[in-house]
Order: sequence, then C-alpha cells, then structure tokens
Amino acid sequence: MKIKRKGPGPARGLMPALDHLYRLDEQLRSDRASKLEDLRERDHAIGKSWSQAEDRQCLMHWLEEVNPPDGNKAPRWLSEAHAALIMRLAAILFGLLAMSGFLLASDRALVNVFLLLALFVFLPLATSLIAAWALIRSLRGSTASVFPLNPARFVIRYALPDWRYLQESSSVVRLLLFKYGQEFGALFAAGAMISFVGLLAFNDFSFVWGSTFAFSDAMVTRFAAILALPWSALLPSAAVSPEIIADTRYYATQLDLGQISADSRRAWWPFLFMCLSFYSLLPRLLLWLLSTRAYRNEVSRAFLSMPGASSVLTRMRTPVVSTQAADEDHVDAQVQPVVCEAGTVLLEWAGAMALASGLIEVENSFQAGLGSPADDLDAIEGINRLQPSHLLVAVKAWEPPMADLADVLAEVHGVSRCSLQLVSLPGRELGEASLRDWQAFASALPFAATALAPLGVK
Amino acid sequence: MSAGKEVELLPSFAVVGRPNKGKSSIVATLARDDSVHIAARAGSTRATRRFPLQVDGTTLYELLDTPGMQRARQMLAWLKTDCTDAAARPAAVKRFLEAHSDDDQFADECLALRPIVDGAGIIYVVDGSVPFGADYEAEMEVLRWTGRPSLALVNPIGNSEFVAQWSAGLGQYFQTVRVFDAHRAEHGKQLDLLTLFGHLDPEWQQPLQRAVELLEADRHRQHQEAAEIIADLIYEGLTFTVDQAVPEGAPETPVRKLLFARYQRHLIKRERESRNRVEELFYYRDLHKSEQGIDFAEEDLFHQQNWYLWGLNRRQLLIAAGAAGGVAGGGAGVLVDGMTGGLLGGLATLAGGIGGALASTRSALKYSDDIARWSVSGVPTGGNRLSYGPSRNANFPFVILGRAMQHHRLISQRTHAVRAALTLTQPALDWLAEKERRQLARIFDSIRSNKRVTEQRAELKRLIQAWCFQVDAG
Repeated sequence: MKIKRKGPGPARGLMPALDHLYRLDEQLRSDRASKLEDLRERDHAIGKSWSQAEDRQCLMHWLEEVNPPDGNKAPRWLSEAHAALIMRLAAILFGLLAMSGFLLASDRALVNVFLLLALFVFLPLATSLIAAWALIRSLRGSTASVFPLNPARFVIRYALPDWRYLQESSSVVRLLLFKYGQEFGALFAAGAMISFVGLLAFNDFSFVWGSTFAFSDAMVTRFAAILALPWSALLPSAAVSPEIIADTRYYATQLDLGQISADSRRAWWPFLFMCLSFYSLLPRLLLWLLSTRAYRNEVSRAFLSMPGASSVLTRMRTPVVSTQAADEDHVDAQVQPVVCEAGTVLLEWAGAMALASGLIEVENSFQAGLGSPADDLDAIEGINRLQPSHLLVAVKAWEPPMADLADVLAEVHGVSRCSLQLVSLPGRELGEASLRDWQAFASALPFAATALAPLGVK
Repeated sequence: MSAGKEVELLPSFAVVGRPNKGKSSIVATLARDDSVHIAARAGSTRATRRFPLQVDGTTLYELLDTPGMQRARQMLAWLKTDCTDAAARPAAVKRFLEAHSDDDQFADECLALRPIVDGAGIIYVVDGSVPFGADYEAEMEVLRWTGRPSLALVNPIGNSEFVAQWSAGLGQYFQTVRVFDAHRAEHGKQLDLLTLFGHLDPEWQQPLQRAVELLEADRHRQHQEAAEIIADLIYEGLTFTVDQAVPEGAPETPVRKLLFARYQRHLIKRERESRNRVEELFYYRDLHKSEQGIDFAEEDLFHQQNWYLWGLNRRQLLIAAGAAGGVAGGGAGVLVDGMTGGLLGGLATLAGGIGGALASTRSALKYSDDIARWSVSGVPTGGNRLSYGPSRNANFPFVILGRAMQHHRLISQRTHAVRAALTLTQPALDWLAEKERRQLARIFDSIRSNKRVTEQRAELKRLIQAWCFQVDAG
C-alpha cells in the first residue's frame, strides 16, 4: 500500500476541521477497495511513532500521511474566511442601519420606549431563546431545522470542502451554522448599540412611553425594575426611577411636551443601553461561545466516530502478525492449463470461463452469448477470419444446451474440429443427464469432427 | 546477538507423521492459512513448507509442514546397522540424511527429518479415528532417535473412537500427548497448544508466550473490525435510498421495477463486500475457491419468506417494536409530566408509553410486507421524482444483522483446515436476549428517524462488538 505523499508535518495539537472530516471519509471509502493485509502494514507503519499519542492526534497524523491536502487544487474565489468577513461587516452594518432608521424615523424625535424594547430587546431575546432550544436539541443529536434565510447559510456554502453530502458531518455543519448565526446576531446587536450611543451623542431624542393598553405608572415601574434587576445594584444610574416613569408618560394626543422635563426625557437611555447589552447582546455572545465550544467538540467527536476510524486506530496500535506460509507456491492457487494447443481458438459461451480461468491457454479467444446478437456476430467474424483447425467452445455444463449457441456455431466456417469444453461448478460433478444432453447437442453440430470434454474445476 | 545466533534460537516445530493423517490440517489451523493444500488422497504434500509467525517482520517461531514418512521401517533398519550406541543415535540420523540426500527413495523422510536434525521440535500427528498399530512404532522410534523435544497430537479425523488407544501407545515414545481436532479446535484451544509447544524447551517458552499474547491481541482486533463492518452494513441497509426522475406522462411501473432492482443490487453488493472483508479479516484468502464455498444464497436477503429464519419471528418482532415505541412515547410523556410539574400525575407518561407502543406495533405490522417505502415528489421542471427507501420494515435490519452475525460466527469459529460449506443450522438471532432485541429495535428506530445517529451507530457497534467477542468466550 502506497502512502500518497509525506504530509506537511506532525499533527501534534492540531484540531480537526470540516476539511479533515471530508478527507477522512474519502480515504476510508477508498480503503474499502484495498487489501486488508496492505492496510494493516501501512497503518501500523504510520502508527509506530504515535502509539502513545491520544486517538485524535494519532488519527490526524495518519490522515496527513495517507491523504494530505491537495496542494494542486485551485482555491475557490471566495473562501470561508472571506465569506464570514463579508457577513460580519454586513451584520454590523444592518445593526447600525436598523437602529438609526428606527431612531431617525421617530416623529418629533420622540422614541417610544416600549417599541424600542419590543424591536431591539424582546425580539432578539426571543430569537436567542429559540436558538438556545435549537442548540440544546442539536447537542442532543436531534436534527433542528434551519431557517432558509439564515445568513450563516451563505458562509456554510464556502465552508464545505465539496458538495458531497456527508451524513457523518451533518451535526458538525449544523453547529457551524449555529456558531456563525450567533456571531452575526451578536454583531447585529453590537451595531445597533453603537448606532444608539452615536445618535444620542449628536441628537436630542426624547424617550417616552405610552400604550393603548391601560398600563398604570406603577405597573411600568415594576416592569422596568424587573428588567433592571440584574444590574440595578451595581449600576443604580442605569435604572429608571418611578418619578421619571411618571414624568415621561405620553399620550398620542399630547401636543405640548413642555410638561416633560428635558432631564426626564433623556433619563431612559442608560437603562435602554443596559437592556440592549444584557438582553440582546449578552445572550448572543453566550450562545456564540457555547456553540464555538460545542462545534470544536463535535468536530473532534465526528472525526473519531467516522465509520472505519476506530479500525484504523486499532491497526495503528496492533502489531502486524502474520502466521501464513512464507512462500507463495500455494498448490490450490496454481492453476495448470488443461488445454494448451497452438493454433486453437476459444469461444467462451455465456461467460463459462469465469469459473475456469487459466484452464485454457490459447492465443485467440472470443466471447459470445452474453451481449447483443451483434457481439455474437463479431465473434463469428473473428473465428471465420482466423479459420482455426481446432475450435474450443467453453460452455456451462450445468446449463442445458441452447439453440442460441447452435445458431452461432452454424455460422462458423472453415473449422474442421470443434471441442465442447464443459465447465462444471466448483465441487460439483457433471451430471449424467447433462452429459447426455450435451452429447446430443455436439453430434448435431456442423463440423467434420466434434468432441466433448469436461473441463474440471478443482 | 549475531544473526546466526538468532536463527539458532528461533523455535521451530516440524509437523511430522504418516501421509494423510492431518498434518496439513493442523498446520493450516495453527497458521491460520487456508492456502495449505489439504487433500483427500495420501502423499499430497511433496515439499516442506514454512509458516513463520512474524510480528512486524520479526519471526517468533516457525511451523514446518513436512511430507509424510513412508519408509520408516527401512530407515530404522539402516540406522540400527549404523549405530549401536544410544548416545550416538542423533548423529546416526544425520548420517542417514547425508547418505540419502539424493536418494529419491527416501526423499520424503529426508525432507521430514532435515528440520528436526537442524534443531526443530517434533510435532507428531496421528489419526485418532483409526486403531493404533505396531507398524507405527518404527517412525516413532526414528523420531526418538533424533533426540529432539517432542509432542504427539492425536487428530480425530471424523471420529475419536481410538483416541484412548493412541494416547496410551504414544505416551511410551513422546513427552506429551494431546488430542487436537484440527477441524473443530476453538481459538482458545489453538493458543493452548502453542503454549504447550513452548514447554517443550525452556528457551522456547518466552517467545511462544509472546506469540500467544500477540495472537490474542490480533484476534481482538479482528472482532473489533468485524463489528465495525457489520454496524456500517446495517446502517446502510437502514438508510439507503434510490431515486429516479420520471418525465411527465411516462409510466411509473418500469421505473419502479428498475429502482427496486437497483436497491436490491446495491444492498446485495454491500453485503457481499462486507462478508469478503470479514473473511479477509480472519485470513480466509481462498474461501470462495474452497470445495463448497459458502452456502449463503445472496438473494436470500430479499427473500422475505426466509426472513424469520435470519431476523426475528413475528412475535419477537412485535414485542421488540412495541417495547421500543413504548419507551420512546413514555420518554415524551415524562417530559410533559415534568413540564406540568407532576400535575397530570404521570398520566402523560402512561399515555405516551401506550401510544408509542401501539404506534410502533402498528408500523411494524403495516410495513411487514414492504422492504422500503415508495415516495413521489414533484420536480419543478415537470414530472416526478420517484424514490425507493429508506427501509421502513422493522425486520429488515434484524435480517441483515442475523445474516452478518451468523457469517461472522461461522467464519471466526471455523478453522483454516475446514473445506466444507458454511451452512445455517439454526435461526440466526436465536441467541439474542429479549432485552437486546428491544435495545436494537430502539437503535434502529432512532437511526430511521435520524435522531442521535452518531450515538446510535456507536451504540450499535458496541453491542455488535460485544457479541463478536462472545464467540470466543463460548
């Protein structure tokens, strides 16, 4: 077994990636066609220097040795890193645009706190919770469906080494999709927060609250206090006081905003900023960290649990034990030609020689009875062109003689002697009835001399 | 240590005896080599063949298959005239070999005795199914004259009627006498025999012990790899699908026939490949060429009348499927009960369990006649896409498992001396415990529903591996 070429170097400390999974799968599939004896020798030779290493390192080293990355493969016009960078910038940009669009589109620079919270805090929080549920399902091995418009799909297209569907890597791809999704979500939130702070620095926005539902001041105060609970002890300035809440109540019919003090109108922003950080950005960051870690673990796990990988590791660590004969002169394997006659032509009928290969040694042979009638005609023409003195016809002895064969032989000219070679099934004797059938068939053939000979397979 | 010294210390064992007494069978079994020519007619071994046990290229010991001795009486007569002193007997045998090295008459004796004179131990083989005769004493005497450590093996070819007689007779000439059936000896017995070889000479003990350990490790590897091959085959059987586009207005029936044939062909081919791999693992190079080959009809995989022989019978199948569905449904019920804080008093678990069991049993019955499921999906450019698979039949993976495990069992228990066909003698999965059947049904269900596939595959492999190891544990 030949090792493709020397890999780039030892794989110590190297973590597997998607590309390794695809290469491992490709190698294990191609190994299926190789002889086990060769695989044992190859794998143990590679494994000798890595017997003490852990499974992942051992397998990585093996892969680098037997199937290193194809250096001649043309790089794609857009790599995974480039696609990810584009999407990261796009996520920040969309975050900036979404928040600035929302704030700048506010009538009279009046920003409804409820609406801002709904769009930029509760909606991202809800999607984060859904994402967390999907992540848990993915980690438990269930297939979570992916939203068709998930922007991470764009990056995945360029992350996959090729277009093959690899069942073994599906969980890895799912987690990679997840990792990028959370990263883009976090960047979107960060973009929105930058826009929020930036616009507040240069514009005089008024934060007020109001609703068609009859929320009392006390209810909103309690609601704001609950939201601010995680940071109110550490950052009391980022909580909203009941006075501010009472002061910033707004009715759609209210035209004069003079009753609301300028301080009160701007007093909401630290609270809102903390809400954006805590409920929009933080869950995404946590999910991103969790999915990054889960992705790394899953790649490693998928790499080691690839079908055939554990056999490779076993072969690497088990010495090559051989007990078989040193010489190659196996008596059984030696097939002595039974018929070896110069100038003789063989016609193999319906693949009869598949069980008797090597028993007839002739310079010219033809096949018929398997393909189309045109193939039979080619064989007839070939024999007629050579006009051999002796024609051997190998037939399956266990099958009855067919008129099809008689038709073909009737077309053969210039052959004086024909021998039907009856090929038997391994270990089976030629039955008397079969022999009689073939004898009758041979006697009816249009040759000057016709013989019948069993071609035994031992 | 010099190379010459190494050669001198290398334990070697010459398997000697009369023609057609099973010498080659014993060598084939111990050397795990099915290329050894074992013939029904006498005198088929015409030259000495060497079977070294090599570990990473280093030889630990060597078995030598020798031609049968046929003129022992004449040889003994020559030796007796040449030597009268007991101490000089080994030298006399050497002189005999030198004197007759070109003599066709004693060619077989020379070939058989040469390695012994050169330092090999003697493994003398007799047939325990025929009576002991005084005519054997000449060759035993000749072997005694060589002065080499010796062991006699009674190989009961066919029956063991005269084994006791032989044991008594051989005990007078050989240090150790053992009964060893080359056609039926389990792996453990083969290793015991090798350990015994080591006891013939103190210097051979250590290399033979190491050889036994290595062979045990190699056997472990064989079972491990076989389990992985079988688990992969079952996974493929559970998930394989074929599809074909059908143009608008074209008849579906020929396409269905084509897809079904393609589906069958693929799985039959995969099963054949897996079998060949397992045979290769257990060092069967020529199994397909042996007299009878394997009597496993490949089309049997899709021969549903035989499924209850290979897989589970109807009762076992319904119990396994029902239990698997019950556990899955009950699991979902537990979740609901947990979420409601126990307000339902475990009703959800009970209902889920019963519902799951009923649904699974119904599904097992519904798909019992179909191997896989047909599905048709529309193609945007017109026409349909017809697909066949994956398998929904509850028994199908059990059938694949049964066939594969039966094949593994027969191959791993078979010795390399056997040339008869592998035949199915009992239902393939009869040895599976009820609990294991349920466990398997759950694993197959999960793989079918694409749930925790990696874990389920690993679990399947672990189970199969344990069953493979059980073959040697008895």
